[in-house]
Amino acid sequence: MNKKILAILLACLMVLALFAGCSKSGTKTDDSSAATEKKEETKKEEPKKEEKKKEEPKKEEPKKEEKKEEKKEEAPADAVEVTAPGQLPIVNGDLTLSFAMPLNATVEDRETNALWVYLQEESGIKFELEEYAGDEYHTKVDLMMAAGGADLPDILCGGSFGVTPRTTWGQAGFILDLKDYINELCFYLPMAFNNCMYTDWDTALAQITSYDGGIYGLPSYAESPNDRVSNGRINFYMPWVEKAGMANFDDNGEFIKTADQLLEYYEIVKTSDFNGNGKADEIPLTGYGTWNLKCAFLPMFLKHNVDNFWVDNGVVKTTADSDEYREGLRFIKGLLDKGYLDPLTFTQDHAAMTAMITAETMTIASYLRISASNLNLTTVPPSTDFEWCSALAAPGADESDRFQYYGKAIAYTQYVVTKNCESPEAAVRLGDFWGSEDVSFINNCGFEGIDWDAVSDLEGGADKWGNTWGWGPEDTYVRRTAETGGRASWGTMQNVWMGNQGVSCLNYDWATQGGADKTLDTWPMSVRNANRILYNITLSNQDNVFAGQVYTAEEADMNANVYTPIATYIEECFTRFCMGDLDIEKDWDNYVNELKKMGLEDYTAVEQAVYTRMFG
Amino acid sequence: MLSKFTRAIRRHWQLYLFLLLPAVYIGIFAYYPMTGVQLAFKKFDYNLGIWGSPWVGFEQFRKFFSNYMFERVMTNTIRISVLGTIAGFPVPIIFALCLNCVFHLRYKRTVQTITYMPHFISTVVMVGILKQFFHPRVGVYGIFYTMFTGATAGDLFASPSAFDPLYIFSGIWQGFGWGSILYLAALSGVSPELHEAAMIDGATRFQRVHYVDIPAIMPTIIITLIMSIGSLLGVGFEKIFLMQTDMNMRVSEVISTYVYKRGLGSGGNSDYAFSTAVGLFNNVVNLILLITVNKIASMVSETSLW
Amino acid sequence: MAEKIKLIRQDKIFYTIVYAIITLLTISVLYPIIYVLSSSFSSGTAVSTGQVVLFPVDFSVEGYKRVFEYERVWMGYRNTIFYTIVGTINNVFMTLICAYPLSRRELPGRKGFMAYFVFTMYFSGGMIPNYLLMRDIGYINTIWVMIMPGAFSVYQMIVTRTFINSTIPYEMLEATKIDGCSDFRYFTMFVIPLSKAIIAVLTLQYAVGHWNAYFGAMIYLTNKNLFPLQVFLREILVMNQIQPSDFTDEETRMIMQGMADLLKYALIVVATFPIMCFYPFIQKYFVQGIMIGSLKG
Repeated sequence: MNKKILAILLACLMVLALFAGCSKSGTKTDDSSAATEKKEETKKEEPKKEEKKKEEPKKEEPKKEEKKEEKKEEAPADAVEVTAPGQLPIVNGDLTLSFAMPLNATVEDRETNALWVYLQEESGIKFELEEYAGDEYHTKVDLMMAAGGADLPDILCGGSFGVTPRTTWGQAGFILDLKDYINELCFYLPMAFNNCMYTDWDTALAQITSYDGGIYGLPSYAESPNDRVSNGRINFYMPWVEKAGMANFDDNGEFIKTADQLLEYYEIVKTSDFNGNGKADEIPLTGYGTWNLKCAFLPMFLKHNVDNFWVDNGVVKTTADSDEYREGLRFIKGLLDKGYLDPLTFTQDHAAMTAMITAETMTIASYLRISASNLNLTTVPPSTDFEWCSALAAPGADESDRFQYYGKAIAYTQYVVTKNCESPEAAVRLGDFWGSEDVSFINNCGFEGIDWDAVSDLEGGADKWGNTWGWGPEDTYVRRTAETGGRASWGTMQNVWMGNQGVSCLNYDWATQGGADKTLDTWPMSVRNANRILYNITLSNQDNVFAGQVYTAEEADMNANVYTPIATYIEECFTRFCMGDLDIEKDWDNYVNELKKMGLEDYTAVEQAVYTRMFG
Repeated sequence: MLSKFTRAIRRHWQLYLFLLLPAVYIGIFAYYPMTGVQLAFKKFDYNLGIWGSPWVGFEQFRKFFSNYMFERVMTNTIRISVLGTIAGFPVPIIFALCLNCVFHLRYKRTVQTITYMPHFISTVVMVGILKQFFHPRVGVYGIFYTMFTGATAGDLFASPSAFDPLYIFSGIWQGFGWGSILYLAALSGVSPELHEAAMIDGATRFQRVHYVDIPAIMPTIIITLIMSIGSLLGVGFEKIFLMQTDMNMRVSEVISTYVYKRGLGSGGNSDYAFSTAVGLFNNVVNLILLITVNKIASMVSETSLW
Repeated sequence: MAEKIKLIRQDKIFYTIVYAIITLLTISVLYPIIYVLSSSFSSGTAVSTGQVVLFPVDFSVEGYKRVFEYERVWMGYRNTIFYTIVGTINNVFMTLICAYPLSRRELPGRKGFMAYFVFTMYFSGGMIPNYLLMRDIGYINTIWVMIMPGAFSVYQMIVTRTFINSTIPYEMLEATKIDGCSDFRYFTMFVIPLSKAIIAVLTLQYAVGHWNAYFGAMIYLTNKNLFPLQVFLREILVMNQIQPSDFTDEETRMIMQGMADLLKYALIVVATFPIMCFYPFIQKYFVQGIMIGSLKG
């Protein structure tokens, strides 16, 4: 008998749970009754199941009526007054805005986060927060729109939204076109953007404008000159360079500037036993993945960026089927054939490469890397003995004829106002304030005087090869460590800032922060100066770069349908040509024809249309 | 007819009552949303929703079939799936049969616990372990290879012919322990009297396995096989995506990775209609396979799905 | 006599082979487990530089410290345990009451029901209708959305039905029918006790499924107090993989990179250790001999 009762109880439990949802969306009394019924676990007979089913349609009707009533109540009251642009607080009166942000593991608790509280105090607006899981943030937001958008909060924040999805959402009416609000109300953001070294307000706006002219969000931006010119660098193990007699630093801290010098050095590495173990196991060059390989060696032939499309005097051209690209492939293949390039470069990941570098016996003479943060070994020997070099001149060319890959910085959007927002003016004003220089700083470093200081007497330093430097900007920002009273450091769990989420514009001044102990020995001079040199090299070539394309729906469709297989094919063949799987001489024409068959020319026309529309 | 129907209900009313709750569940949670399948024949408009979006007939399918990648993607998916099933299906069964013969209880339990642990290792970590293990220079495989042959091992991840074995065997390796649980449970239901009778008749241990154990779990085997074949076009996405490299791409690009890359290409908006169409295609093919195999099974043996 | 000796030798060979197969397979599987454990107890640098091969290098509990520092991990544990227990009970119950009637071959309409259920394994409306359904019945952002949908797996139900068919002999049913036993009583008095093995399997598989669930939570939940463990764990992992700007100090960056790699392993252990502790309790149901005495009674 016990089992019978248990079975019946379980059955009733499940049935109740099934309708728990219905009752929850109705009145609160229904909810509590369902809960108490569950808790009491009263014994019921089987026929009751059928009774409950009959109850269901009745419950749905009162639910629907209540929903209609709620909608009438929510009619905008318009009791809040938004102050003039630039003024704080932003509203006179009570206003609550609801936000959705992705979970961020570095932020302890947003509700008590110093920046969150600060924003509310200064703006006079109350915030309500929903946090979505970070991994599927976009999927969830997109799904909410696809399902009608009724449960969207006022503002979607954090996690960048691309132009294409925003355009789709905006045209469907789920998010608002902020163009007019931006022009009328934005005060701090234009200032912040115009203070940037590599962009300005108009450019940034243009980058987030959709093809129909609407601006469906507020721009964010972070300047990091290192990122702009860091693709394709090669890192050399200096003790061997010295042994080879090639560590001749010039005034700018560079020591290898042409491909000829590079090949010379690699030959020496191959034929000398630098690690002294009697085996010819020295590897001149290794890497992880093909991107940095391409950026290191193709631009010197291409004389433009490695992207599949580039611009030549207003005409969009393709890279992957050009003769210069073919030259580049021959060069890389040559590196492989001569044994200079490690074939594992094409497939291994950085853990494996790092394992080789930090192995007991040093076997790596140089390796390819993109940017510093990708391979954080600079405080672990022997990697402290590595130095950069970057853009090389092509074989036979002069060292003044160099081309460096330029990664254009694009403004992105992580602040979007939805149709459910009562007061878009307040939302835009808030975003404007959030993205101001001062608040962006707080969002990254914390509050002045508590978490960081402005220092103007920062010393310079010297690296181990005798290169010295001064300090560029007059005022530098130095974060405080725990010992000096700072409350957190970047990347750790803290409750002071929100990790650049929201609206944020960080300019070059921010980017040149000093080390915590007021010296610069953590930032090699050659990098800093190389940035300046390289940036000047690339300045004249910036117009060739085509980035930040904004597509219409049909164009985006073509991109997905036609371009995706093409891009995969180009990528695949790059490796196969270099490795010798495909013959550069014999199979090239097949390859080009295949690209044509796949529709490359048609698609190039699409890109041309985009370019003409965006840049005239 | 009606009287036959009511008679049946009266006789078995308790059984029908049992079925009522699951049927209602499935009705709500599976059949009600199934209407969304129509999206495969439409072009999705955010404002109009699923019901209001315009019909485009087989447009989504046409996009899928006429795509340059289609042939390659289909061949790879089918090949990987079939080989994986052929190679992987017997292993958990054999392992369960073997383990069932073991006397030492503690050994048996330890083995069970150890072999089912890899199932919990996430795909990302598993592929990471694989890459590290097979690295030609610093991986265990590479080191042993050099030790025995003096030459440096080839890069298995750059070899198209190595992809299938790597993918399939690592899958078997990770999953056989977990997969054997079901068979072990079925084996535990075998009446010991049958074994006693067999021993009296002079059967060796092996014969006992052959004539008692295997027939006992044959229904489970058949059903599992039918279900495996009925999910042929369902090659998982994450593991393949992580194991792909430029060199093996032509044998490793499958339907799921293709759909994923395509989704990224248009800037991040999920193309619901397209993925619904592809999903529908997958499911129809799988269903046809299922019905076919089930038919064969019902003709050949007593066990089948329906 | 000679026959008996031959038998013993054949058996010996057989057993040697069996033990060999099992031992080999087990050892081969041991490596990734030890690797994961060792990595989780090593320092971040050792892991990211690929130094860990078999045993921990630079023993440290940094990874674990980091994971448990994140308070939400505890909340996640609490939620996941709740969802797993309630969800599994629900699942197992539903599976059993669905599998049993369908195992009775004489039930009219059996084929129709089977088709009804199997069909749903193949056709699904996709994310949008499911989201709309959850919204319409009010499950969004409640605990129910983690427990109710997917109330049972048709696949498991089919497997259970097969099990019932093949382990519980039809004669038993006939015998009880003669004694006047109702279907219901037969189910509770005979089928359930004899199905302990498959119930164990179902419990284990459903429990693991609930334990590892995250996608539904990501899509349907917005209240972080309801998130299951996996969501927070993924958060930690993703957070550490975000490339910070180049201009943070080197040491922090290096630590973070190492931390990301190290965390992967600590997270696996943290996420799976509890559920693996659950296994020994289930194990005893796989022991042979469940059927002893049942027919005799």
